[in-house]
Amino acid sequence: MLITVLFRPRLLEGLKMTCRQMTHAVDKSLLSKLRKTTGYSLMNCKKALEKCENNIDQAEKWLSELAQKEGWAKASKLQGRPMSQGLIGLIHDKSSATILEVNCETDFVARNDKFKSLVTQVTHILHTNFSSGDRKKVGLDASALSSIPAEGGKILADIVAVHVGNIGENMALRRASYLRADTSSVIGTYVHSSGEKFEVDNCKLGRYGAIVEVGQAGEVREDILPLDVVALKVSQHIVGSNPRKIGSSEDKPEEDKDNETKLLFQELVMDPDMTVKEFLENNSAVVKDFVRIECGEELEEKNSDK
Amino acid sequence: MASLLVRHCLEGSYAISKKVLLSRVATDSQQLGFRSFSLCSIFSQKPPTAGKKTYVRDKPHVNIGTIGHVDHGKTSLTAAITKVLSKQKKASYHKYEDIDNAPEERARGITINHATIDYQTDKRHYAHVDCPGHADYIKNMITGTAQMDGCILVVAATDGTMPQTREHLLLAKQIGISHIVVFINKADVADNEMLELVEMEIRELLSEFGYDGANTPIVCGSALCVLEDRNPEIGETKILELLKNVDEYIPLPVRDLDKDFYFPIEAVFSIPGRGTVVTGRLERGIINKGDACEIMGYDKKMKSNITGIEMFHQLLERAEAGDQMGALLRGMKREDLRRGLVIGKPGSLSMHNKIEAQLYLLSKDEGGRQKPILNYFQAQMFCKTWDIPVHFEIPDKDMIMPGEDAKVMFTMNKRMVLEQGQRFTIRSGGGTLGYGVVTKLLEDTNFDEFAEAIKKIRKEKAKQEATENPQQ
Repeated sequence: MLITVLFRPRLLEGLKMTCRQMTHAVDKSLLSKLRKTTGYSLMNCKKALEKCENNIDQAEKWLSELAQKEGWAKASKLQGRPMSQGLIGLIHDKSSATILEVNCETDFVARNDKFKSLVTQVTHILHTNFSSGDRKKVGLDASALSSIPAEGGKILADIVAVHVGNIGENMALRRASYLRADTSSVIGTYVHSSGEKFEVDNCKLGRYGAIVEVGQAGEVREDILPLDVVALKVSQHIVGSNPRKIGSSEDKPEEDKDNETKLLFQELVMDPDMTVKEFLENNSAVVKDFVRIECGEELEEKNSDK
Repeated sequence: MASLLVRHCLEGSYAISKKVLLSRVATDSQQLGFRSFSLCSIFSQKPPTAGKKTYVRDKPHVNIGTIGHVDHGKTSLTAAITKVLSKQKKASYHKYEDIDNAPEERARGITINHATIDYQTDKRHYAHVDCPGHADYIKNMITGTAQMDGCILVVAATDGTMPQTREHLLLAKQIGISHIVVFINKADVADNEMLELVEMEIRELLSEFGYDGANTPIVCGSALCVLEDRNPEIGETKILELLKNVDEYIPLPVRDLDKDFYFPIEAVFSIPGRGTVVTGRLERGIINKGDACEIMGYDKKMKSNITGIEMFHQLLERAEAGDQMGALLRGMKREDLRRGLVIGKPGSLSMHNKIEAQLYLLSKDEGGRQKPILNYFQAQMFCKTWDIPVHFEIPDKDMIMPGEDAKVMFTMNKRMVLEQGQRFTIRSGGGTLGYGVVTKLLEDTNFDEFAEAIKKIRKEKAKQEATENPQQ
């Protein structure tokens, strides 16, 4: 008790002293400017200005170097925290498409522009990476994704870490898939967003996404829908109805239609009077393959083919 | 008033039998005149609710929430508030861990992740809500489980505003919060310059989102100091300052009692020798015997007078919000009236057949449907005592997935009494699909033309899709 009484005034005095020293060391308007242009935390902006003696350019450089290190430190600190929110990014070019899921902790962050730009950026890197390869279908899990190279000698995990440092929430790349159409078939994609629709540089963002490969089968009559329209409809159906597999004619449909998990026997979301099978037959089309990702869903089993 | 009466009786009635005492009370209260009579009658006629705790309504109640980044100390602040107020016996102390581990609740069939804690200041009683996500607050808003009257934005001085603070403010705007009080936390590890800068930043951001940034109260303190019993000058003192600001800056919601009366009809009876009586629960306001009223709904609009009020087989001079009552209506025939019509103060009601609403579609786990809802879907809307078929129009997206909220425009074939903020349920095929809240009243549409238009749009869309290529 006595000790605290004795020490407290000195402690406070000491605190005030350091405060005063800091005031002299850092220019407030510069601090405010640095914070606005870089968006790094106040604490770090201040440190940067102290280190670089109020030279804002140097401070900015120092901060961007620090960001990577800080990001990793923060990322490892937040590592164990649960993530159930996030976004999927989907890029669809002529004959192929890439879908990626990135998780974060709260849906506030999932709506933030910085998080959106992270998802867009990584989806683009992956799409370029997959398209230049020769594989028709790719499916990667978290660990395989992290080590994929990005620009400037970095890997994808580095990019995520910087964002973790900036936004202050745990984040992770969870899984990605890629699907390429054969010459005789087309790719259809659909993204469903809980909030407003969002698309940057051809990359669509949302909470659900699906890629489907549809081929022509049978007679190409006048009255049928073009193949890519069929593919679009089927991909929207897949997002809405969550099929587990395509199913085949030999399979038996479920008795309770609501529990049907085989794509072909499901009622078409846009027209419940029709099954997907009937819709495909009417339009001389056949589904060859599909991928569906729902952000934050529980995974049944891990299947990565890295 | 009541205690005065009792004391008065007791003074002069040591040896009087029970019967005499009762008659005495009766005469005394009669002498006290109309005002006290109606008060007493209302007290005595409130039904005893078996097995429920009585909530003493001695202070106005306000719902308040915290928003902010996950690491900025929302939970610590809540714990600190209860700790400080528990010393004044106005709250029970909730430890950080207890708040943090709040289990998810199911309110009206919807799973909501939130922690609710209540405490009092000298002036008010607060329910304090904290939700982890945007979706939870939206669900709260839609169901009205914990409609927030104001909120505390928590920002850590060490970090300043975060990128997602923008999303927090957007949310506050969306759920209709007009007053925010700011708490800059972690002042124990920041210096004055930083605090000033954070404050500046917050004021700028608040103004950007349409709040009164310049006059918003901002309090700098440290919740941790309260929890660790140190530095009361930035701990306890600041918490009290924050609460004082909340008391003063966040306005009281208008009490139901002070609003114009609103009485949805539950049932209609014809009583020989008296006339037509309607029953229901008086939702808002006060009805005095003899009041003029308007009766509206299902495209109809009528005028009448409430010539008698009855509750539990006793006649009353007036009824208050919350009363389950019967009302005798002058000049109305039983055939004119039906369940679902609303009786209100003349000029206070309006009818609409098209509204904009925010809808929450129940997920499969919550008892809703498994499939999404697409544009032009049809279902039944239940609201107050009425229900009517409605058509959906989804403006922003192709479909609404279960477990998701969305803006929806509803059109009905008859004009109903509707107002902004009114809540409703959507049902179809015997099951509840979702809940909604009216966000905007739209201009009336001609329903027949609307139904025709929908048919056309459907046809055209099918055609368009057949000829165009949407992928390009």
